[in-house]
Amino acid sequence: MKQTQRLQGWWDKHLSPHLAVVMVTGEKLDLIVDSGFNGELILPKPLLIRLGLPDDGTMFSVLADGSVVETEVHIGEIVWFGQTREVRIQATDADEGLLGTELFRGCVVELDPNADHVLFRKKPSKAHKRATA
Amino acid sequence: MIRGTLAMEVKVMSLKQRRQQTTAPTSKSARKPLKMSPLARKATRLYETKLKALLEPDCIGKFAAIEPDSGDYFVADGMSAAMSQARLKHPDKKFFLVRIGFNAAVTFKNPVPLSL
Repeated sequence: MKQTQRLQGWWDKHLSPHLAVVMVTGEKLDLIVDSGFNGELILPKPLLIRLGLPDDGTMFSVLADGSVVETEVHIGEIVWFGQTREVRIQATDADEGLLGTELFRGCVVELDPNADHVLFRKKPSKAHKRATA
Repeated sequence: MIRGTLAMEVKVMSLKQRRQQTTAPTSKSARKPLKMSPLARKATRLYETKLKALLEPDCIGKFAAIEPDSGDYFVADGMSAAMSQARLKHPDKKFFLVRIGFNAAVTFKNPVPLSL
């Protein structure tokens, strides 16, 4: 698996930023980058069932209207900057997938709709900074 | 001129006040979930009766994966890290994830109300 420092996405015609994320098993997911969601990933329930991702428990989520619901959590492995990363994926009844800000950690995220620019840039680790100083 | 008027109306909140507004497990005004699974019910009872006193306020914002049958809990900065630790010890169990000091592990809305 080749390590990379940049992940490039795109904007759709509804002005939503997207990023394609690949599961370790090879499935490609088209996710909306949602800075209002502070989890890792959300995927539709039928897709989670089709992917056979194991159930890991539940959690509460606050929806946009302020209501609190209990949501299922599944374990998945994605390719993130060229490396395998275990993530927790929430199930949704909606038909779109979301990528949340928990995955923004360790990245610089650039969004520019005018330039059709969506970029996740990996920040160098502290160890790497020390080695190159 | 307009900017000056708005600035007068902005309610300045300290970080502590913002946290208090979002720490719904301790807030009576928090909305309760409509339905809870037995897992969530047992885990939230354990959190309210035992873990809250142990984990708040020192671990505010961290995640805790709770295995309610054993009473074990696993705290980490990230949600996957907490649940992975829990899975290592209890590979056949299901866990309930909490964000310490908050009413839910994740949110789709701004937890701090607009104050303008």
